[in-house]
Amino acid sequence: MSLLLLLLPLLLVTTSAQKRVGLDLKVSSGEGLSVPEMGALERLTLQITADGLEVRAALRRSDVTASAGDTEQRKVALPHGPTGPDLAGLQAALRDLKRLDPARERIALQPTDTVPAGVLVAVLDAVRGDRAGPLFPQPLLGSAP
Amino acid sequence: MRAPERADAATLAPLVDVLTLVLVALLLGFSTDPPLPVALELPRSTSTSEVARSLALDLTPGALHLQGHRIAGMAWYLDHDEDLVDELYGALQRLPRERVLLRMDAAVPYRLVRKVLFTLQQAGFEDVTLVAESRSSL
Repeated sequence: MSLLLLLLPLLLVTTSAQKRVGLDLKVSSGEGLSVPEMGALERLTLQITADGLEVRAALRRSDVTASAGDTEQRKVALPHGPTGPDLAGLQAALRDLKRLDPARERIALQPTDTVPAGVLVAVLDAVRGDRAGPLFPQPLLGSAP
Repeated sequence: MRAPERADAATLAPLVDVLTLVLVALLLGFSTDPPLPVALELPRSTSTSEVARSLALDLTPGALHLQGHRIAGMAWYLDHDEDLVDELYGALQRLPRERVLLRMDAAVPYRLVRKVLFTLQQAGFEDVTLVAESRSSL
């Protein structure tokens, strides 16, 4: 009992309620954003604006009528809700794309200049994985065209 | 004489239970991270990666601090197109290349984050950790 009464104030004085965590990024030249990958998804980008999120994917066509280099463009627009970005909708859209190219790990994020850092970190969290497992754990940061 | 002792023990038992629960909650939820040298509200993250000590950059909408020392005001960079933060670039030239911990206020616009990341890349600092507050914080 006395030990508990000693430990409690000691912990309260020497520790902080704020637990810090990190999200690792590789800051390299912008080349990674434009290099196409070899899987079913040739390009995958996520634009983050003040109004919403937009996923853009270029899927390699594999049907018999397709020529080399043919791609099918997919676009999913997710307007922000009253509480901020639609992260659940984003993860559902990314999960669909992940099923098409399970080996892909990269996604290019293109935030506009006005996007707050808090929203950027929330989106970085969301694209790395959801409850079903990892999505695209190596996001690349660029800027919106 | 024994009856009151039993009553005392019976009264103390729930208190010990509660204190033990509080202690466990503190041990799980609190951290020994030193306080931030600059007043900023970190973004919140679900990441579980711990942050190792390294070169620290603190970015607020008004200023940039390196290892706790203010090195640049950011209002000018917010209004101008210049991408390289000269003051940061100059300061980094005197430091060994290592991982940079970027602690930024949740309200900082990406325009400033982008310029700081660009400057880090130009100065040869390619490994960056964005520091956030864990969503499991109390």
